Amino acid sequence: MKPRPPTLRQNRRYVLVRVAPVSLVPDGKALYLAIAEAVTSLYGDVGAAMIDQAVVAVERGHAVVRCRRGEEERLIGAIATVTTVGETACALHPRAISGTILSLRDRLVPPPKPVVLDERADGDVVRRRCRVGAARVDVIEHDYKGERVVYFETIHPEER
Amino acid sequence: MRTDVRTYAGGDTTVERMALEAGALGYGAIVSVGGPATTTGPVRVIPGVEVAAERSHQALAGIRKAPAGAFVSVRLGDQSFNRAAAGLPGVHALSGVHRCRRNSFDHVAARTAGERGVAVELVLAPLVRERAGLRQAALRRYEDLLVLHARYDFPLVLGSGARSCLDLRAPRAASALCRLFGLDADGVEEAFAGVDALMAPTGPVRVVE
Repeated sequence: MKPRPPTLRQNRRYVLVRVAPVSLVPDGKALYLAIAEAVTSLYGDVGAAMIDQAVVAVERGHAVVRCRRGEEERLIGAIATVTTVGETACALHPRAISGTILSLRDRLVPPPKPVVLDERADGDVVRRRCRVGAARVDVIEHDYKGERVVYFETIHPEER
Repeated sequence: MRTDVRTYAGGDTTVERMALEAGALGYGAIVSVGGPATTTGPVRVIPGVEVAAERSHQALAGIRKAPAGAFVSVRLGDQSFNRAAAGLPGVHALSGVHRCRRNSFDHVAARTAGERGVAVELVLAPLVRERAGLRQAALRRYEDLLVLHARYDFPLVLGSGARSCLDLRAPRAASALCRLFGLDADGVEEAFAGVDALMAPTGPVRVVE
């Protein structure tokens, strides 16, 4: 199929969002479904068709979400209502909007990688403490339902 | 300085972690209901007290128990209580508009709040967490509140209602959510910056001697 000439193509905007917590590496499809559900729930089918959202990339703790030009603010509003991806609690924080993915990649600051401090198994449940950056600890619980973050705390000064 | 006027201590996140995350999102201060007065990095934590009562004298007793320097908010209820709550001394803000029945926060309460400089809280949590009917009701209440705000000019303050650091929302996201019920970007910035003025209100100069 021959692509349309550039002047007839729709103008797009790309929104860079930070995925929290940093330990979560969402699947692109699960993220797309979560955002699509949020957009449809907030603006209905007509609004979702106008926004025409899509997840373009998920990398280094961030995701790039595409929409039509002029619909960025509505997309950000919908993204703010995403509270879970799959069955994992998360938040998506908008960081930048651009007309090209390349300029967003320039602004992409990868989050520090979590370091596993210890792991404990209580029956079917596995609890893992991860140190993230210089000041944070996440406790992540794995069981047959999946993975969830159960506690966030700051690192005690003696542990630094 | 932007302030998130409603976060809760005692969820899955420590107050320090909440402050760290809020700082990363661009806030300079948070009000932590049930939390201590502290500073974590560049973020100031203001202790918050939410008074829930059915009668105004019960609310007044709760306000008097609040520690010095706390941000005191009174949870709204029925119409007569709301009219009285807006005039209670020591109140910084009225909360829970989205839970009220239609017209229970009416023009009389709005005028009293405007005259006494008492703010009304807009909490993003019902817009973020709820779906369908409850979210629609919250949007209607907030939209109605803006009509009264335009007429009586009482201050607005904005909070996330976060119990976990994952519930915090960036100012840009808050602005996009507020646009849903008609609050523009300037109004959002004004609401985020409103806490300082409420905590240290300016008044006419008094001659002591």
